Amino acid sequence: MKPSFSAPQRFLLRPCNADDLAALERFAAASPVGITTLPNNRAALADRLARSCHAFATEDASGEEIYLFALQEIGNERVIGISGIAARAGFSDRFYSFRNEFVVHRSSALGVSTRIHTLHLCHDLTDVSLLISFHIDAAYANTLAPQLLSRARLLFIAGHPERFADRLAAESAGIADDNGRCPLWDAVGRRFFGMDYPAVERLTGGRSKSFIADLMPPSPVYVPLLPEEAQWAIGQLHPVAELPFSILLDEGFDTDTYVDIFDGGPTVQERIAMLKTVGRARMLAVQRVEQADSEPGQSWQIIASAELGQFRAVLTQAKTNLELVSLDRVALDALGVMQGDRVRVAQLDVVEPEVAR
Amino acid sequence: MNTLNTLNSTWQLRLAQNEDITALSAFLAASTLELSDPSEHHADDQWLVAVPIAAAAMPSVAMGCIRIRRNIGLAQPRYWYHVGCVVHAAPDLGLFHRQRTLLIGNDHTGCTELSEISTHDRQLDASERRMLTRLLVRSALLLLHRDHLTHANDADPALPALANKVIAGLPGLKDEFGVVPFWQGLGRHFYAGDIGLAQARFGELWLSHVAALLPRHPLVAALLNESAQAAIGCVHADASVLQDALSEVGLRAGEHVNLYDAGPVFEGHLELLRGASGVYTRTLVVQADIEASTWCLLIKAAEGGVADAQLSLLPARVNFQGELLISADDAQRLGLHSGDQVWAEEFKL
Repeated sequence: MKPSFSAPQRFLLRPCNADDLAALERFAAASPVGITTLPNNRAALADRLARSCHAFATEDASGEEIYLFALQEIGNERVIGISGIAARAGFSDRFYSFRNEFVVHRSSALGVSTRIHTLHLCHDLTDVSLLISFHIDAAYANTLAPQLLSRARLLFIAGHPERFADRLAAESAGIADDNGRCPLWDAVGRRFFGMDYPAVERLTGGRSKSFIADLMPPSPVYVPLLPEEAQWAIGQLHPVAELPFSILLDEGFDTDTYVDIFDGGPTVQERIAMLKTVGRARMLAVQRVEQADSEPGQSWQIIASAELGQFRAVLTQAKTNLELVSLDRVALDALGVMQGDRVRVAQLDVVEPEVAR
Repeated sequence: MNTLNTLNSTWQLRLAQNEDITALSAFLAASTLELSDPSEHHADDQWLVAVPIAAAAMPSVAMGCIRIRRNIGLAQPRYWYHVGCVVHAAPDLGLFHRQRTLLIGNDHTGCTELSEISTHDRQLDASERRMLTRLLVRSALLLLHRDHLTHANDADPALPALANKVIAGLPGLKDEFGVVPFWQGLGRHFYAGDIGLAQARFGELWLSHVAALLPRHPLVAALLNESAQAAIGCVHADASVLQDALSEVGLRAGEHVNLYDAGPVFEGHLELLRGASGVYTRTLVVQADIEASTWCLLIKAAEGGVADAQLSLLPARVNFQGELLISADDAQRLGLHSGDQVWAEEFKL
């Protein structure tokens, strides 16, 4: 699905800083249990923020870094979205997923073949890089802001490949109600824990999900044996995950192979080089123009500065050629770059709305 | 309808013959007789029938049967679920869950199996059925004991290896409408075909064919519905007589269940089953009047050959010389003679 927009706002993505704790708290508190990778706990959030600040500052990346980004309108300090990247999924531990597999059982004597859907507990995605913590202020869900919030991360990764794996994954929230009740958890996990998933999360005190997964059976789950409600939930999205998922789908992520072991939400993954934004990314020199008016030859571009700690990304309409990207003063200031600096540019496909801009 | 009083009769147990088929059809399923011929005997597949021969007026027809199969699963694979255990523990969280697992396999391949243990229930009352079922099981084991002990030191490599593990499957739960909860919870998800047709076509081997469609990995029983879980290892109420007879000789539910109804597989090692320590070789002495003190189950010492499997239940007494005394009438009816060497054990009616 190509994004559309209803207003001509211009947005800026930047690394989170210590002042963003309140914004993180706001997004964490607004998320249902199990939906977010942001802990709804001030101290834990502060710790996560500190880890992110360190990750952007350090030259000595080990793989345990998490990078958190904040989105704002240019000229407005209010944070309207959060997103992040974990350098290595399951760093220092294992990252569990269910892998969808189909086995065909055949009895020649009975003349019967059956195709059986199974879920295999696996560690396939351990050590891949992980897109995390996507949260957008609901008021901006129908703007281009989510596009920048999600895809600019890919330009950050493309600019610092030594800090990331060559494969990227992202978890999407699966079916659950407001109390955190998940059909898949109730059919599988509950049988081993005898309690709701939120209760298990509380019990484990914020330990990694792999700790919980270690208590689950290692043998495949035969899907036909699960209640219908649980079967149906496998690979289904929670409504809050539809928007970020649609962006990942457009990027070309594989959406069919893995699901979350708790709520059955799809866990997408793909080689980073195969993603649309990464494939389109080019390093161009900045050419300053007076005003980025809409002209023939312009298109929507995600533009990211290359500096690690000073990483900035904006979404703007700009004219490009093989060597140059034309940016106005607002964009230059937002990116912190000058005429002649090189920036990473990737075109964004946008469906122009009928609404007059 | 009870037309016979067999409780105090002498019994002969012998290999089934052609003329027994009619009698067997009264209490064996038609499909069983269509797919296997009890009168055809092989070293690894014998059918014993029990015939009461106490009185001349009594018709000498088979009232019960038992099938003894050795080295099972070598020609056609046989399958069972192994009921195992997996523990999920996180001591610091106070979590400790012990879960049953089901893993399909051929674990009893090569064992000896007692099956088709059936009695003519319309002709027998409850106590007769109970006695006859016990007699069938004990007879099969005495035959196995004799053969096992006879061949224990036999170095002839041409003789078939006698597996000393004995198993017997018991029927699992099924409701009055014929619905099998274990199959409903598990098997039907993998084979949606008509079970009746499959059974009619393949007999008991239908399960070997269905096994190819069933999960090959361990299944955590907790993921099955509750009634399927509850059925694992349960014995159908109608099989209580058989269960008691198997238990009496020391066969016990092991760790395997049937693929279809999760009925338990009773098992035991031949050397440890009842009778193993109470079986003696005796010399027969035929007398006109023996003042019998006990009922005795006996089989003549092995002479070799597939057909060498005739047992008798009759009144007897052991004299001071350790010889087994039987009456002249019984000896004549049963084809026994003074000086015969027999393996014998006491049988309490």
